[in-house]
This record gives sequence, C-alpha cells and structure tokens, in this order.
Amino acid sequence: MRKLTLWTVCVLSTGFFTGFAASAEPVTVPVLAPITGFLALEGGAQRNGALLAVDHAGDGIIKADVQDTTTAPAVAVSVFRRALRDGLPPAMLGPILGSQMLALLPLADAEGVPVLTISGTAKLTAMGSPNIFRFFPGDVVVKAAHARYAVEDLRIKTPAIIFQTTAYGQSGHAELVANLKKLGVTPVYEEGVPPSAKDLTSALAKARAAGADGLLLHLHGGPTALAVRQAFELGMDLPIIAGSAMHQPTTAALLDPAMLKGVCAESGSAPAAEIDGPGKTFADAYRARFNQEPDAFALAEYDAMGMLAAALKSGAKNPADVRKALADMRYKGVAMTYRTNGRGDMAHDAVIVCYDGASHRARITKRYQSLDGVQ
Amino acid sequence: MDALSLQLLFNGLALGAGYGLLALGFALAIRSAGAINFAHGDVAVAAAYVAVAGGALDLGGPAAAGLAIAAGAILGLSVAGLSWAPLRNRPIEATFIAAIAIGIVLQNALTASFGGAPQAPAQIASGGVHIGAVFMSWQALISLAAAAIAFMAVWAVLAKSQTGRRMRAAAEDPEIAAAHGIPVIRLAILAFAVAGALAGLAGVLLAAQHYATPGAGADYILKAYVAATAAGWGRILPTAAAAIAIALFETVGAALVSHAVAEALLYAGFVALLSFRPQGLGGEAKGKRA
Repeated sequence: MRKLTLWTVCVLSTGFFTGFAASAEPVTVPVLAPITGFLALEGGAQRNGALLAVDHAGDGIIKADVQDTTTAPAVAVSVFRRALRDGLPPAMLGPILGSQMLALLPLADAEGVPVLTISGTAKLTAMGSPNIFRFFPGDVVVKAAHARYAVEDLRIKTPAIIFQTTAYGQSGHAELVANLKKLGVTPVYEEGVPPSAKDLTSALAKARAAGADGLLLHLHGGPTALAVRQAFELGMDLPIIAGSAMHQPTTAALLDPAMLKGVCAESGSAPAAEIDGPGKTFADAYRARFNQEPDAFALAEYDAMGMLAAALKSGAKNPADVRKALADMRYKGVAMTYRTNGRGDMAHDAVIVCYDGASHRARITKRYQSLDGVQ
Repeated sequence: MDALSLQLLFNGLALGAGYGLLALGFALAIRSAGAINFAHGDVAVAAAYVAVAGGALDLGGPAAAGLAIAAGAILGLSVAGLSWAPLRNRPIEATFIAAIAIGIVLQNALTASFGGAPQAPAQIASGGVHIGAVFMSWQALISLAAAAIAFMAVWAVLAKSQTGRRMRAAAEDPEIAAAHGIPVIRLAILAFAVAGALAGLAGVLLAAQHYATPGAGADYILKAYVAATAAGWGRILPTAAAAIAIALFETVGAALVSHAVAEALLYAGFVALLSFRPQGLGGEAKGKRA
C-alpha cells in the first residue's frame, strides 16, 4: 500500500505519463555518464537519476542504455558514436562533464540528435546549438543565488572568494564576481586553487588578512570539505557560503557537524533536504532504490528523463520531434518547472541550504525562482 | 616567525609525513628490485579505502589503520607477483606498464565498490591542541610520529641488519649476490611487501586529513616519482626527504605566491634541476632509470 501511495504521488507530481500510451517497443535512450574517474560521484548520481525516471515511466516505455564516458572527451566521442550505431535515437542524455559535452556538441549538431545535459558549463548553451538542452541551472543562475544570499541575507560586504582553477571553477568564479558587482560588492580577496591542493590554510589566512567578512567557496567536494574544516581549525568565525558541492550529503559526511555550523551552499535543488512534497517523495524513492542520499544532479537527470518521456508521450517520435517538443514545452518537474530561454537553458531556479551545526542534514533556507528572468 | 608561518610549517610537515612514507616505499622498490612501481599510489589509496571499510564496520581508527597497512603489504605482494616477477627479465617498460595497468584496475575497482565521492577513514584521534595560535590536530601529530618511526626503522634495517645488507648487495649486483647464495628474488618480493605496507600507512594517514578518492593515486605517484628523481634514483632516505620538501613547498610556497603559482614553480624547479643535474641531487644509487 505504501509503495502504491508513493508511486501515485510520484506520478501526479511529475506529470510524466498522463495519457501516455505504452508502445510495444521501448524507446532506447542512451545515457552517457562519467561512471568512472574523478567525476564518478556526479556520474553515478546522473545514472541513478536516469534509471529511476525509467523505472517510474513503467510499461517499458523507455529503456536506458547507460554508457561510461570516463572523464576523457575522446572517450565521450567514441561512446557517442557507438550509441548511434543502431540508428539515431530520438534523443540522448549527455555526460555532466563540460569538456565532454563541448566535444559532443558538434557531433550532436552534425547528426541532429538532441542532447539533454546537466552540465553547468556556461559556454554550452552560448554556442547557438539547437540540440543542447540543459536541465541543471547554469552558473548564471546559481551564482546569482550565491551572491544574493551572501549580500542580501547575510549582509556580507567584503567577501573573499576561493575557487577551483578548473573550467568549472573559473566559470563559477566569473559569474560570482559579476553578480557581486551587480549588488555593489567587490571581493577583497580571490584565489584559484588546483583540485590537488592538500592544504588551504594559506588561502584562508590571506582572506582573513584582507578583511573578509564572509567566505564564498566554489570548489569540488573534497576541497570544499577541506576548506570548511581548515577554516574551523583556524578559528575563522566567518559565514561560509559554498558552491553546490557542499549540498551533497557525501561532502557533509566528511566533516564533524560542529564544523558545519553556519555553513550554507547554493544548489539547483536539494532533494535530501526536502521535508515534504514531490522532492521528499523523489528522495524516498531514490533512497529505497539505491540505498544512498540523492543530490541535485540525480534529481536534474531524473527531471530531464521525465521531460523526455513527456515529449515522447506527446507524440514525438524522432530527433526533430523531440527537439521541437523540448523547445516548446513547459514541464513541471520535481525540482522546478523547466522551459527553455531560447538557447536551451531549461532550469532557472536555485535554492540555498544551510547546516545548523548539530547534524549532517541541511535544511533549505531560501528558494529563488527565475533568477535569469525567464518566466 | 609569526603564527601563520608556524601553522604552515606544521601543516607542511604533516603533509610531508604522508608524502615521505609514500616516497620511501617507492624508492625501496627501486633500490631493492629495480622496479618502478607505478601502482604504488593506487596501492596507498586502496589501502585507505580498506580503512574506510573498516570504519564502516565500526573498527576504531588504530585498528582500521592496522588493516590498511596489512592490505598495503598484501597489495604490494600482489603487484610483485603480477607485474614484476613474471616480467623482470623483459624490457623494463613491460614491468611498469603492467604496474600502471594494475593501478587502473584498482582505481576502477574502488569506484565500483565505494563510488566516486571523497571518503575519510576513521581518525586515529580526533580533535587537536592549540599551542599559541597554532592548531595541531592529533591526527597530524600521529602522522609525524608514525613517519619518524617508519623512517628510522627502514634506515635501521637497511644499514644495520643482515637482511638490509643482503638487500643492498642484491640491488648493487643481483647476479653476483645470487652467486653468493643471497635469495635475490625473495628479498625483492619482501621489499615490495614492505613498500606496500608503507604505502598503506601513507594512504590512511593522508586520507584521514585530506580525504581519499579513487583517482588520488595519480597525484601521489607523481609526487613520489618527482621526489625519487630529484633525490637521486634509488636513494631511499633522501627520496623521503625530497618528498617532505615538496609538501613544504606546496604549503609554504602557496602562502608566498598562490597555490596555482606554487604548483607551477615546483615543476619548473624540477625541470631546471634535471637540466643541471639529471642524476638528481644525490646522484644515482641505481643506474637504471625509466
């Protein structure tokens, strides 16, 4: 009975399948994800989200063909070509890694295959491709939330920014600085750190010496945990607003709860922190299926596959149909309502989560909608 | 010296303890078996994950660390059995390509088993102590103590014991040593096991402070290789010292310039060193180099 209720809520909340007629042959959707390599955490979440969406589609409507792209662009290209071996699929789900998506973009355009992605790399939707649809809010969106929460809610006036030197870090850093500038705030200290850095004491100390009244982090999961821990050990009594890596339960688990007191993070969504509604239903289903906590990447991929299922339901049969459907539809997913801004950016909302220092569980402190003005 | 400098020095030494243990094992395998074990970093990471698994089973930090050391030794033996022993009479490239392959297998096995998220093993001791404005975590202090004990033990065995003298003889000229009844292969395999145990200790100490990810071995082996080359190929204790210097450069150098510039300067300095002294600072104890 509980299972039935869960299922009912899920179907109602996502609106996947109203009027969806089961076809005899399931549509095979390639799911390209970095299952191994340094992005395996995010790639695993991507895979899980897609598989859960396929489960919830039911009736054999969609079949996911999960392929590991590792983290090399060349491998992603090879996997993409292999996925097309048996003919053009109506669409595919692309890897989260921006450099791989950039390598796939010209191929997607050459073949005319829509690629649904959760990569945040800003450039992807700025290159005029009609085939890229991004279901995770890009840096334009989440960094607006990051900056606004720091300045408008925490009243930070002299922030320091520590960011990763990777493409991910540089893109987020640029957007963060631009959004702070719009709010009339200039960072007093900025430093890029490579992902291999094992000690962030010097960057933290320089931030403090520069007079920072808040710390804005845009780092991967491990470095985020390291920065939070070392700031605590240095006795830095500054609010910390981190990038989306900090919302991931696996990142929080690296730290003692006391170290997390006053730490917040931006994210596209935070399903593990939802206490009711469709987000909670999704999180419960995810936990039951995979025995782990869901993150925003899993939910974004779930919603991407959900919107694709809805497009197929509405009669889309080939790549051109899917491309048109994705460009025209508004889709109420679990995380948010998705619609394109004309360039393939489908996600426009963000949340801020904060930790109270008593547990590893974050709570959603603020929700932002239409941060890039797309209604 | 101000508080920040002291803090950075302490952090650098604690990081250097881990790097030094890694490099010590790496150089031991070079010196004793002529083997460039490119799986050494992955062995350290795999051992750290064994400690993570131990923590999940409610083993305390010390027991989990012991398990990691044992796992490192077993993995070291496995590397010897799979990549060195059967290929030792082939061109040297064969052994290190085989070791790289083993490392990749380990990485992917860890990803499949534990996922890609950073993980931390149970700490041997949590918390720390403030001495003035300098924070010293117990875990970092234990790392320093463990490394100091391991360095002295390896030095004592190599310099003072019959086994150490035989190891050195076998390394200098395996054929003459074998002719004198020294069990060259057995000693080389023993060196792999000890190197693996050191990697296991390094892995668990580094992961407790800096977290473990399945792919972290690549960075570890790079540091060990640079240290071995800079110190002089096959020079065991100087290699460990060079690894500590690398860690100090990473932490203190980052304060003087920035992390990105310090990393670039480290490798630029390495290239410059090789240009002027290709044999490394101490000269080569072992004549072969990859």
